[in-house]
Amino acid sequence: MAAAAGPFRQFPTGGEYSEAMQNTHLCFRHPELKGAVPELTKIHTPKAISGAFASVFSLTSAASGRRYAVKCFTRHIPDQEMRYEAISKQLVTLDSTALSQPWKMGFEYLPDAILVGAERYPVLKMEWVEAVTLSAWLDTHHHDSAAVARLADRFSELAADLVAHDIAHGDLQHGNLLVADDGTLRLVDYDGMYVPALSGREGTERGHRNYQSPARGDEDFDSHMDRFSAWVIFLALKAVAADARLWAQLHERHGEYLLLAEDDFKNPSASSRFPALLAHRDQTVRDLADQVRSLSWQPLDALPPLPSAPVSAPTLPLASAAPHSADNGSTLPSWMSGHLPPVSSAPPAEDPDAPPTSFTGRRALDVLAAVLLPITVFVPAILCAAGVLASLLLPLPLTATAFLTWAAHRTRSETRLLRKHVRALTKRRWQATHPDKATNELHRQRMEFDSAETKRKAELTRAQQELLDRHQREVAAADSGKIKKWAAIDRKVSSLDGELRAAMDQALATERATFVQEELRKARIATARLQGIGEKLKGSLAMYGISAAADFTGIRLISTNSGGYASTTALIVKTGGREVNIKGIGAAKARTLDAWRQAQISAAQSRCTIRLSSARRQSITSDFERRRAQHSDERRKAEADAATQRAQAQQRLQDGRVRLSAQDAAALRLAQQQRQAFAQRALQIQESQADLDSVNASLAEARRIRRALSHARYLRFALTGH
Amino acid sequence: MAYTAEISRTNPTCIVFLVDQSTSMTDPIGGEVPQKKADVVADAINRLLTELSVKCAKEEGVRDYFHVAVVGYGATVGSAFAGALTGRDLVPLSEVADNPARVDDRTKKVPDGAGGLVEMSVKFPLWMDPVAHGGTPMNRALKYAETLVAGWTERYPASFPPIVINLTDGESTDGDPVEAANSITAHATADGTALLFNLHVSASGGSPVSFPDSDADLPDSHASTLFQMSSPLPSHMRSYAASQGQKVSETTRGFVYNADITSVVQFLDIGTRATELR
Ligand SMILES: Nc1ncnc2c1ncn2[C@@H]1O[C@H](COP(=O)(O)OP(=O)(O)OP(=O)(O)O)[C@@H](O)[C@H]1O
Repeated sequence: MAAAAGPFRQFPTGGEYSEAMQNTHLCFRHPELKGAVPELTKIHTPKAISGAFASVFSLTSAASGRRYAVKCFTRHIPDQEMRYEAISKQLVTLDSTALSQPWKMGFEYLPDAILVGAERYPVLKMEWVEAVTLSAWLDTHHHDSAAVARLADRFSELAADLVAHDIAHGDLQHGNLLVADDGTLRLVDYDGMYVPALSGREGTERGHRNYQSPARGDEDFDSHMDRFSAWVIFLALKAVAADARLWAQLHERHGEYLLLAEDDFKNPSASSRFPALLAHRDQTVRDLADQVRSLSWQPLDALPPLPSAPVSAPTLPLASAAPHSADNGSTLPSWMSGHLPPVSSAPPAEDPDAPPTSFTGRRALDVLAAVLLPITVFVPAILCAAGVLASLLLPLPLTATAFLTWAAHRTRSETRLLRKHVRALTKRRWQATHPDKATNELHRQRMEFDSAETKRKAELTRAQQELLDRHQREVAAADSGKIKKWAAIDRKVSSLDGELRAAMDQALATERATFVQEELRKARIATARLQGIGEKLKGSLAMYGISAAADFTGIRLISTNSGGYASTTALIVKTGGREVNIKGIGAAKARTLDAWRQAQISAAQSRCTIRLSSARRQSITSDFERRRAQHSDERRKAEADAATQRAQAQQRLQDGRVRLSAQDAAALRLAQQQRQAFAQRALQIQESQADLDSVNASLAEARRIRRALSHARYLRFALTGH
Repeated sequence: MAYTAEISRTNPTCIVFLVDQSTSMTDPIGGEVPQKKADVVADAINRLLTELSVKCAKEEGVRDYFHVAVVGYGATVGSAFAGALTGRDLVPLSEVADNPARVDDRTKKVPDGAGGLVEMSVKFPLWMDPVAHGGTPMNRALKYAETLVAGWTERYPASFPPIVINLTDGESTDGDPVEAANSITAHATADGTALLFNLHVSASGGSPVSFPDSDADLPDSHASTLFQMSSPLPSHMRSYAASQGQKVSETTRGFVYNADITSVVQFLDIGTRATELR
């Protein structure tokens, strides 16, 4: 950005100015503008004439009845007030009577002049210039060749006025050059004007794109900056003056240019408009067109000013000047030499396809042809006349020479170039005259592409949905797996409490049984009082190893019946299971013994106060705690596993999405490129049609050149070098 | 280079406005004097059309640098023009300028220059009225715009690419709009791909945002989605925004949150400048 001196300001829009202008007694305080009547649109709102930097309103003063153009700025322009002051000061010094025509417009820069919203902004109050824009004027006057020719002179005079005072407008173009009723020019829009006092600053704009040299940059802000646009306008006016049809042929209705536009300057050899001017039958038009073409890429300060003396129609000095293509290769008319400094860095402005229009520079072959020609014509004739040669051999050398010159002519670079040129032109004409085929083909391809795109998008949606479905399935699977595992674990956990109780009971029962057993061991038979069992029997019992209650577990009575006598045998069941029959101990005594033992058991059990020791309890409980902890670990693990699975699924989804959207983005980029290519092709087809005129003109020109390069001309050239 | 085509009468471009007309647009937004979102959006459109007309006005009248469509989406999707233009899609700007549905007289308080305020009456042309009824079929609206854009690129292959400006409260009811948005910007002229800009009017709060380069400061996912859908500003628009004091970067997008979108019109570089000043 240019170093914006002065504080930056946001400016109102054209619409906001237009709204403010609905109440001029409120928005203005300048006596001439307060209450002034604006020109209105069809819908009765103030009518704007807008450009890139401002909107201009026509206001008729209520006080004086004078009409003004009030320019309201829509963009911040660095140092605007200072610039206008400098411009104003400079213009005031120009003596109106010394100017070629009254092109100078009076203006006054009024800071804080208009209230929009809550703030005041500057305006440029100008006298209303009663005139029409150059393009509108040409629309109605291009048939009046004399008037157009006069205007061309007026224009070159105006340009000369500017040069004489070291001023440059910066944006010479059809909207800023107005034509008054008397055919003189008015210059408006001084926003970008250069005056010597502004030397060293940068420009505020680069001018209308269809009038500028491709070489113009921001730093081009000096008295040379109008040079290129001046040539462009001058060429247009001169050309239309010479041939009114050029206006219809090259100027598209409503086109924001005169005859040539930005593309023509940027790439003259590809221009579809230049050829009609370069190959025009009028020498002035050709020369000026060639001049503009060759100036296209040159630095602005290397450009010559317009020819200062008005070139008076109809006899143009250039028309009689040097031939179009001089032998030394220069294409400049002689009056231009001296205006044009030597150029080194101009990019190729030459049209590489255009063939030369005459033969230059004889080759050895041409010289040979030239030497052979008289020899083969005259020598045999003389020899023949002298009777040395049989007349029937006469055609032989003639044919050979004819062939030689034919070959020499054909191999000349000029004729080769011409043939190539004509072939290319013929092809272009074919394209231009058969646009339907090309258009249909393009349309078909477009449709095909569109339906492929639609399919691709449907496929994309399907793939996205599939991705999502799979993701949901995976997440669901992870969750249900976890829930199953959890249920199994929970079952185990809830049975643990019962098992713990059972284990405790078991441990307690074991301890009690041990106590009772101990007591039984202590219950000695020897000291017991047992009905009917005396010392002797006790001794017998002891002999059988039964001396304490612990030594037996019960009795068994077996009834036998032998010989009509029922008798009962008593067996004592020893600990370990052996049964013994002890003499003297019958059923009654056995019962006594067993009852004693039972009594001992009951007594022992009732004496038993045992509870589980806390150590034992601890050991049992801790075992269960361990198992419980193990279960909750399993639970956590199941959760973690599920989480991992979910995360993996998420990652897969994510990856899939990234992949799909990358694919989509790539496909979209391709689609954009493809569509751009389609548009370019449509354009080419369109252009080739618009081109038809210039192709035809070029073909006509090529035919003309063909005559200039004919065999006869070649023979003359071979002989004379011209 | 893309986005350098001259916008001219011989090479015009098209602007398609998409206007959210769903029921949710009856919700109020704004501080002291809350306004219905539908009113905010209708005002924005009417102002944009006025600005465009003024911008393209020349001595002989408004020039057809643009063809303009205003498409509403709510209970239905279709032209939102009222009055003489009812039912029409792309209309040449000169016709738009001459045919507002009506011109309202609105009163405005302005400073009287002596420290006080005075009431002033201004004419306000209207092309559409606020409507709020139905869902938010943003996908369908974007598809509608796409057909207009596709037709345009075929008809004017050399033009500055079509511009679609979507004004909405952001809550699409017929699915994620991102893809439909991408389909619009996949169309192109020889000068570049179509542009999609979004104006988000929302009651979600947060400060207004104009042409941000990330969605970090946006208050909700709707705003983020709209931001993602919006085209990056072409370089000349960026440098214009920068010259107007906006902070911009390579990734600045055509997105505005609860702020004025009329500045978009200022971005449109009509025709004739050789190059933007940098
Ligand atoms: N003093 C005037 N009298 C009559 N018409 C004027 C006057 N000044 C400007 N105009 C008209 O207003 C148009 C725009 O004015 P001007 O060129 O000054 O604005 P701008 O914003 O600088 O435009 P541009 O884009 O052409 O530089 C002109 O083309 C011309 O038709």
